[in-house]
Amino acid sequence: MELNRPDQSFDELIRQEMSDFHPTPPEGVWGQIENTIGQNSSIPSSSSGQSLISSVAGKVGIWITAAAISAGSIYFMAKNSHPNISHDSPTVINDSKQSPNTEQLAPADAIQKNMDATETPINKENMAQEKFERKIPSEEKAEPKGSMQQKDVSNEPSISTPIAGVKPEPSQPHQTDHPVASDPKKSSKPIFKEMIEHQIEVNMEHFPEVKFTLTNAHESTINWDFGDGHKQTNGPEIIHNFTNTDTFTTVIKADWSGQENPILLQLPIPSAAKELVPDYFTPNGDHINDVYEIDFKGKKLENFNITITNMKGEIVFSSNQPNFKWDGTRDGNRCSVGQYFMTAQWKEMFKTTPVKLIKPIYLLNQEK
Amino acid sequence: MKVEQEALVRRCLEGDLSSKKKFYERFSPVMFGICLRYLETKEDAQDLLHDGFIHAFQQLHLFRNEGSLEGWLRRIFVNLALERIRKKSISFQESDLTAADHVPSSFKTEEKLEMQHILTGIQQLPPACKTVFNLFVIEGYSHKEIAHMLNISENTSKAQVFRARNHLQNYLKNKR
Repeated sequence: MELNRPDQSFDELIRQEMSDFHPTPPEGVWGQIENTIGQNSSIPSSSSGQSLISSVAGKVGIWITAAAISAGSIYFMAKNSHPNISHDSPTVINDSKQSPNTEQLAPADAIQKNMDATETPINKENMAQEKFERKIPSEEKAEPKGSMQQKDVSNEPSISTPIAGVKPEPSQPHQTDHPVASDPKKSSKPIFKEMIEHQIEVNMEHFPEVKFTLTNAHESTINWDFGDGHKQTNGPEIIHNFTNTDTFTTVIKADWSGQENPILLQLPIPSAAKELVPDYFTPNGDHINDVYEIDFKGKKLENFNITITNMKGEIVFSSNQPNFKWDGTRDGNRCSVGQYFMTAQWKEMFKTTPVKLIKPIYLLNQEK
Repeated sequence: MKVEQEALVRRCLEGDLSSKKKFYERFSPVMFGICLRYLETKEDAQDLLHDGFIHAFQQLHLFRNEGSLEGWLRRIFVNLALERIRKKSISFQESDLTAADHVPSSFKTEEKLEMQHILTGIQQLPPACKTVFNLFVIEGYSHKEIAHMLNISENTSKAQVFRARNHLQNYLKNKR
């Protein structure tokens, strides 16, 4: 993994700036909360908490202007939604963990001022629960609901993702377990269509048949539009025969219920695939077609790999370099004349869809 | 600090409304910031602020005082925000590349940025980008964690941050 210092410092800058983003909440929200939680409150509220209001207001006062502006801009932006983009752009990003935000606690005296000095003992149930939970390395677990606190609340929000789950505290010992692993199957598909991953598979033996797969979608009825006048409803995997290669479009649409725009799959090498990837080569030392290679016309590729197998299915050559050259040997021994299969996978930079290309190739003694 | 926090939590658990109000006043600005960063409109953000605190009060008995109360709340709000994003059908006007994705950014980080511009810049990111960027850069989740949370691959998470960064840098360049 390559370090990318400018990106890291940019991220750091953004994180620092935004760690102070504490806009003033809209008025009236507390009133609504109070209505909801206060109805069955057993202990009547005595103090108004006025002193705290002023101290908090003092702290956040400087952000009132910012919040007012931001509120306006949010609204504006909602009305003029930004053109979106979808592709998996290639990137090498350093995976190092970011340090979470620092705490922004209010002045201690502000809270203490209104604190009752008398210590109230925690009830035994809570203590037991605490002891139990301390043994669990991950953070607060979302427990089944049903304790006394919750009965008071009528319109509770439903959360399918566990609160548990999330970021380990900076103060806590490093934790290798994945924090959300406790409930990984809750959401079956990505929340944005543009995060659906897909693949195009072209087997040149069956060309112009092309197989399209949405690898992490779980929809059963997807409307496929192949751009050649043919539409079909199918699951996340479909094979389409572009009978007329003249109408071989480069963008295939996959869509299902929902208001989002369809997923676009880009065919990176339409009919040109035939010419791009040679059928044969002649490793006979005459400097003509002596090696097998693919000319990607200077296109930038990522995640490239190619394997060439013989008719028995044994791998005779493999590489992850797009500029690979196969000289027709296997472990220094010349391979026999005949048919081989190449399977190449790659993704073009700035293109959405990874491609898998399968093609029979021929090792010949001389030019055809 | 810890003692006050414990006392505040305890008073809230006892049902003391004024303590709950203190609790709200203490934490609502930070949490509202989270709401605004993740959601599209101010109305949505306000709604989430309300629901998040209701939820927090319901779940407060599960909070262990050894951790940071604010950290605990942040996780609630982030999770609730993701929950909403998940439910909402987000309209993508265009799913293909825009010019912004190709422009290599020559952003100079020495320069001072205004928070308001950053905020607006984050808010105008495409929804998927924005969500991942928030989680990775500001909340500090790893790509692995984000991949799990959103059920995407780590590479997609990285790609989204990459795009978001490019968008944001280009946006901020024009604000100078």
